[in-house]
Amino acid sequence: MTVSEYNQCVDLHSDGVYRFILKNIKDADAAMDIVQDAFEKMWMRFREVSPESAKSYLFTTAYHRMIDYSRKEGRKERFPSGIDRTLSYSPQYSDLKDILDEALDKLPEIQKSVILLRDYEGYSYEEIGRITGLNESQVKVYIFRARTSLKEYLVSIDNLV
Amino acid sequence: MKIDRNNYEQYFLDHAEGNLSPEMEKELADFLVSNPDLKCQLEEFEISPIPIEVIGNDNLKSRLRKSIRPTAHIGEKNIDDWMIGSIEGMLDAEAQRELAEFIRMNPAYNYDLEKYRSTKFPVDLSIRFANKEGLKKKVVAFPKRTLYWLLPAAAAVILIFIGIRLLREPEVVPTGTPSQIAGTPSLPIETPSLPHGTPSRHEGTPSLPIETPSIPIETPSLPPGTPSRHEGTPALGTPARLASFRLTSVEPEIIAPTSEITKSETDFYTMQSYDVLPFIFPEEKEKSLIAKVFSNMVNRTRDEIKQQTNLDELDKTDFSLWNLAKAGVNGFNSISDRDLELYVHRDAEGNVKSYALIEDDRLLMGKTLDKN
Repeated sequence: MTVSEYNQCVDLHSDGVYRFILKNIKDADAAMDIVQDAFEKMWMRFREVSPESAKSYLFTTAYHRMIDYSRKEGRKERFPSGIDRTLSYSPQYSDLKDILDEALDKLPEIQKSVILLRDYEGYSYEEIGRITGLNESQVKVYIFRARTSLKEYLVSIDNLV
Repeated sequence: MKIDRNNYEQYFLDHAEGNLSPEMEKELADFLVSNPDLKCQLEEFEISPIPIEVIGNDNLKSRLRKSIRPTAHIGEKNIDDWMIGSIEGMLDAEAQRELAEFIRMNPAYNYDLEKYRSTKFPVDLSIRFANKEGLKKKVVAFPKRTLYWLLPAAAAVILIFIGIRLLREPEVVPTGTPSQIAGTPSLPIETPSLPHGTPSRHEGTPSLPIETPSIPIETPSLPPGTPSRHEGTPALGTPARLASFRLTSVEPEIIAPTSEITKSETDFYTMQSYDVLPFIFPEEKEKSLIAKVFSNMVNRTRDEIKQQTNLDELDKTDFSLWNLAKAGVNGFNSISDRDLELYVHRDAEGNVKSYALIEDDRLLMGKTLDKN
């Protein structure tokens, strides 16, 4: 990978990686640090990483760095079992996007990651598996569970309204 | 019962609850075609008017779906899989048709399908990484004027370095006793011609054949019959005389003028002793340990290069600036214990397009050359 190819990767993928990390950890500064770490790591291995595999490498590196960060920060917020039925209607929801973001925050981290990789970046199950270290079947299961939880959440909001 | 504007609400309710027979569904569809203003009312019937506080969502669903009509593969237990498969793009055309058929027969599931579709996250383009420029690597760009000066200078230094390494001959320092040294080839030195019969300074001193390049020394010839300074001393410049200086490091003698030799002639001899002979036989200076190590390393490297490489096969193309630069970098690495690498990227025609100097995966400098 040449300098110009690396700089091209910055233009092409930095937004996507940053978006993915920020949606997961909800901390802009930490997300920026993780993105910078991922790009620095790629630059240190510029001989092994080709421009074609750069995107996957960046997401993989950023994902693992994010996991380390989350463990370190002890972020334990979880969706205990299915929907949080005690959730009351929040009038500040302006549109579906806000509701979805709220629902996303209720998902377990792994489900959140696979669903964002799937929807934001359009990765296949196999590619998501490579990034997250899961096999294809596990990815499918997590995506199924995530979609079910999200849909139930949307339905519950509708019913409350 | 025939549907009309007076009883359509009953039909709408039965439709929402899935209680209409296929014939009644068709009757309802025809009625909506002729009364399109009532379509929005039908949609309102599909959402339960029952307050959520009264019955739970599960009860509502079970009431709405109490008469689910399955298709060949889709039923109440696996409808979620099919709907998720649909929005994930995993269903083929036939499966999609079957799902559509199921939804048509069980229209209450339209709502669920819509909700599943809503779980697809749209890309939030408002989120952008702000510090892209900070991530980018800068190419070290030399001003052209500096580059024009730097490249020839670097090439010259590299050429000198290579020249010294490849062309320098090993030093031959004679060691041992004079008799041992005497067995080596004789010294071809052009010495000033002295008159025949000039006695040598020391008789019996062995001649010293030393391997040195021949150095023509032009000195004024002495007049015939010039007497010697000492009986038995070999003539000046002969191997025997040279050996006496070489091996004994004798301090130059100050010879007092005699009646036969004028003062100026004595000065001439004395001058030669000081100025010429030390030039021919420089004192062997004691080398430092590091110098000896480096000298041995260079000599060994040169010998290995000679053994392993036929330098006669060198092509003109081997002497490109970039090859010399790479050789220079390798030489620098060998004496500095660093790991610099010079990368040169060429296009299909072999023209250099860019280069980079890298150490331990770190770009020290790089340059993309202009087309011109």
